[in-house]
Amino acid sequence: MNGAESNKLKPALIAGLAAGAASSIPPLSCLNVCCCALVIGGGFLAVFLWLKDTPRRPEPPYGDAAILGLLTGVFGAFAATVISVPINLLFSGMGWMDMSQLHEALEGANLPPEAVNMIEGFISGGGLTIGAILIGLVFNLVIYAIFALIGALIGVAVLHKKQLGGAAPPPPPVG
Amino acid sequence: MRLERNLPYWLLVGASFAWVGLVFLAPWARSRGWPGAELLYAVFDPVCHQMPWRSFAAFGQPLGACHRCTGLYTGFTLGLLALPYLPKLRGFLLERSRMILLFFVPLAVDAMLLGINTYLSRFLTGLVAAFPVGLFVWAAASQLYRPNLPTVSEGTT
Repeated sequence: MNGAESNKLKPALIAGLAAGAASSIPPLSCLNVCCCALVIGGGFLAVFLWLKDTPRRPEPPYGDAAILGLLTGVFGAFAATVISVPINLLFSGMGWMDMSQLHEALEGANLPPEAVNMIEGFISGGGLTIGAILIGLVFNLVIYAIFALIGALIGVAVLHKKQLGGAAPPPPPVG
Repeated sequence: MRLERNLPYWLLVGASFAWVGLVFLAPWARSRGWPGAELLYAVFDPVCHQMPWRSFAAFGQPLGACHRCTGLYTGFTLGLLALPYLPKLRGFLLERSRMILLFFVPLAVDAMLLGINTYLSRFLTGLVAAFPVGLFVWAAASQLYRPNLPTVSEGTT
């Protein structure tokens, strides 16, 4: 593995930040209820960025893509946790949304009671304590790592281009 | 690419079963008033809407994940178990890995039919979509476990 191939940090950081930010900003974050689509997309993006600067290989680099996906997931989990704190404060702490008005509006929309409770819970936010943030971070680390890894592997399966001719690239000139 | 049912493979199978098991453990725990039940539901909260009317029920409680996610997790596990016995499909998928996208087409179509799809269509399309994904996780685990192993064109078990 040469230097260019081993340089996974930059694509992982970019894709992780993008996935983490998208997963924290409502209503974009709602896409994650589709089987963590944004995080899977983050893993896919990381592979796309990484393969651009990586020489072609005869076989898809699934192992390297898995490591890249894990890194992307870790960066994404930290980014999502950090970004979600001010967003939760904005929604729940500043009281700019009148919950009674919201409740009336939701009741008027003929939604099932479970949906009303879910939307109210989402808007009002949970208790924002250090403990809750840390537990959220641990959950995010596990979930993001798994799903970004799967996204990266799907990415390499789709985006990998085989080395033409099967020959190794010429060695750099000596001297 | 040479794939073997070695330690990483069996660890993957174990982890997949554990993940699917958590989906069923959550309603069981809630039905018995177990204090950790809500924590189990919380595991799937970031990745699934967990709407009770779009989830299977067991023990009088909704599963930890919706119809489609349950299908995806089950399909992943089934794929891991079945693909070692399907060498032609395995070889085809490894040789033409972009074909994995075809498995996602039914899911995408079903997801767009928001008002028409049923619990069965959501479950089955999820199952089909995730079926081949385990193969690539297995391939990654094999490469990481023995990265310098000489490779052959077709997989063997």
